[in-house]
Amino acid sequence: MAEELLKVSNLHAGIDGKEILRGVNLTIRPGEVHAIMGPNGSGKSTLSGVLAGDPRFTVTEGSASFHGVDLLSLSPEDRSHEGLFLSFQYPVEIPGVTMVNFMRAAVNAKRKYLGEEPMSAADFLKMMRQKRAVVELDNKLASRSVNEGFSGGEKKRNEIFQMAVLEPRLSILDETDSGLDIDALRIVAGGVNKLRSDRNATIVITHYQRLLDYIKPDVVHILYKGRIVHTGGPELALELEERGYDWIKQEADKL
Amino acid sequence: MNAAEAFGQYLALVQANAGILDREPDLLANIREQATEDAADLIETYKADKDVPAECRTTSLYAPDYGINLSHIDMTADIAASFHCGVPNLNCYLAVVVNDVVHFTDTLGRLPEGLEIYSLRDVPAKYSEESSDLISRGFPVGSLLLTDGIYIRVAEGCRVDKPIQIVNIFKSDTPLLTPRRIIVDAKPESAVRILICDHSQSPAMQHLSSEAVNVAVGRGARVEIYDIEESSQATHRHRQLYAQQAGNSELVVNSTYLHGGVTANEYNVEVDGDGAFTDLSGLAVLSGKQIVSNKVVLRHKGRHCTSRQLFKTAVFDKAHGAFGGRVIVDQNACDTDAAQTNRNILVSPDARMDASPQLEIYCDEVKASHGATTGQLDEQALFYMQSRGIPRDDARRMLTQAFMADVIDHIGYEVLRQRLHVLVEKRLNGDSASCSACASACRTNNNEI
Ligand SMILES: Nc1ncnc2c1ncn2[C@@H]1O[C@H](COP(=O)(O)OP(=O)(O)OP(=O)(O)O)[C@@H](O)[C@H]1O
Ligand SMILES: [Mg+2]
Repeated sequence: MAEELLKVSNLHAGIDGKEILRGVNLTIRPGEVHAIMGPNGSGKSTLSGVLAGDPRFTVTEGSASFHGVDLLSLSPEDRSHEGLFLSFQYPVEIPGVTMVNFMRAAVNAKRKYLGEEPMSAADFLKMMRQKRAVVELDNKLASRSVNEGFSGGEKKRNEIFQMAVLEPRLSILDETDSGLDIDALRIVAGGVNKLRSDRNATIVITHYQRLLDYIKPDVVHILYKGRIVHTGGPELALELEERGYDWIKQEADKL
Repeated sequence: MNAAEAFGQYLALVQANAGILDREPDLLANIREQATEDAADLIETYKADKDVPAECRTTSLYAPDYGINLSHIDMTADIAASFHCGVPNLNCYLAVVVNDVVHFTDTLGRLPEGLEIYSLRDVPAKYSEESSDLISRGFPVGSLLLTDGIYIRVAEGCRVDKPIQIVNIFKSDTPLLTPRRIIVDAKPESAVRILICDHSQSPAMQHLSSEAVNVAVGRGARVEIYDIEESSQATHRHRQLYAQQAGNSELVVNSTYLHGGVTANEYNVEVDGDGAFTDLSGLAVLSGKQIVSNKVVLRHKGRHCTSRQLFKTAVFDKAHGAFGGRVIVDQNACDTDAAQTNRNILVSPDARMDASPQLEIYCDEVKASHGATTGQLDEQALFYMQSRGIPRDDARRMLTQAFMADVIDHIGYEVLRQRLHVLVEKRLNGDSASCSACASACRTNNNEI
């Protein structure tokens, strides 16, 4: 079996003393796509946030190893440099910081971390152009402030554009499909597929089967009340679409 | 020692040097005489000033034992010779002031008709009489010790084609108190743009600049005064800007603090005429133990006037900022539209900011607003940036710069606006900790004095 890219063991985390994740176990290998589904409020975004290092959450127990590195001991920026990327469910608006400056800072910070020289202005702009094409991101958005006044769909496209620039080893897409129209969904999913390789992996958090028609998962997990209560193949997503969560809830609550 | 005692000591020094001072121009002698008369009262009122941080009060600023240069000795002409502030490559009429000695004979170039610039030592008598109130205004200690300054007269209808830049430089081997004065008398329908830059060439030496910038904006005239302070921790500044505005005049003032020690800026604007426009703004980036106070007193007397104020401060480390804004709308000043905004961010837990906006309205038909907020950088934005690999400190700097952007963006003087964006970015990156590393490209040798 291939080496583990991410191994989360018995992860407990919460906010202000309230426990949200109550023992998550998850193993992901290079080349895999895992879908995480689950009812609202079950902790999917919390899991993404904890893995990315959102300081609002406190980890109380457990571990997460990312290609052998103790992920939880790293700053959010170093997690990014090590190859983790989170596409936010709610991308943050940053008035006054242009997309160009934002991306340049991100790219050059990573290069510095890797001991490389900053990218030349010409190379950087060329790369920006190429990566924009991956998700057909409007050129005009590049000169605007980060996410400021972007429509819901533009924000999501912008997340995948950033993913394309940063070339992560593990991407967590937290409801990247929400807010996208039908065409945009196809384009964004197409972008994600273009970036896939047998070296990297993707976690797709979604409520809908439709995204999974485009980004085909190898494994589907169901997160409920802070735990992964069910794991199956792609057919599990179809079953959920048909039956809803009640049977899962009943099964889990019996335990 | 308090300010009154300090004044007493300086007065004794002045009296002991009566021989030297006897040979001074009448104008300066008159200022000195008047300062001696006014001193006791004025210093008492300043002592009572509790609005500003203790370090920014005149009682503290003037307390150290500074040397003075009563004999108007120019020990440092060579500095002026090698110094050229360009901001950069600014096409301007340039004056360099080394400590309190004004140099501009060759740097000014040919002045256009209607613009006259003199050292206070040789203002023609007809002008010094005409502008005598304007010239003599200032904090008494500064007035008492004044030996030079710059007098700018813009004739009626003269719209000066290029900015006037005044570069203030400190250079001394001993602690020094330097009185500085800039007079701008802009006659009706004239227009002039002035940029003042403060630097220190002896950054480790204690300096105090006691400065008065006195401006008369004539009917329908427009005056813009910009200043950039980029000196050192040991360089302190007490700067009073006084302006009086006639009908339909426009006054634009912008002040940028990039580096310095303790700075107390006072803005005192009297809008006498009807239909005038006043725009006061400022930004300060404070770190270490820097302390800056901006205190505005804006008085609307005329009718149908508009005033805008926008002051922002970013406070890092253990620095301390203060903003005091008082807008007074007199009984007769109907249809005044006055807005004042003060926004501050505390970037570190030990940073401190005092803000006290104040509106005093004695007239019913006015539109007046004021707002002051002091907050922190947006944690969610910081995390978002970090999650893209931007180190937290860099993210903080970028957000701080973004926070300042609107103050800079609203500057209509394009070359300066672009330059300020760069200067503020460099400041936040710690690139220009002192004048020697100043990014304003002051030292090119193509303009010898
Ligand atoms: N900042 C916060 N403060 C308090 N409670 C929070 C906070 N963030 C999340 N929670 C709580 O933690 C639980 C899990 O939230 P989370 O956002 O992880 O759910 P989710 O599975 O992503 O839901 P959705 O499908 O609606 O996006 C919820 O009950 C939520 O209210
Ligand atoms: Mg969520």
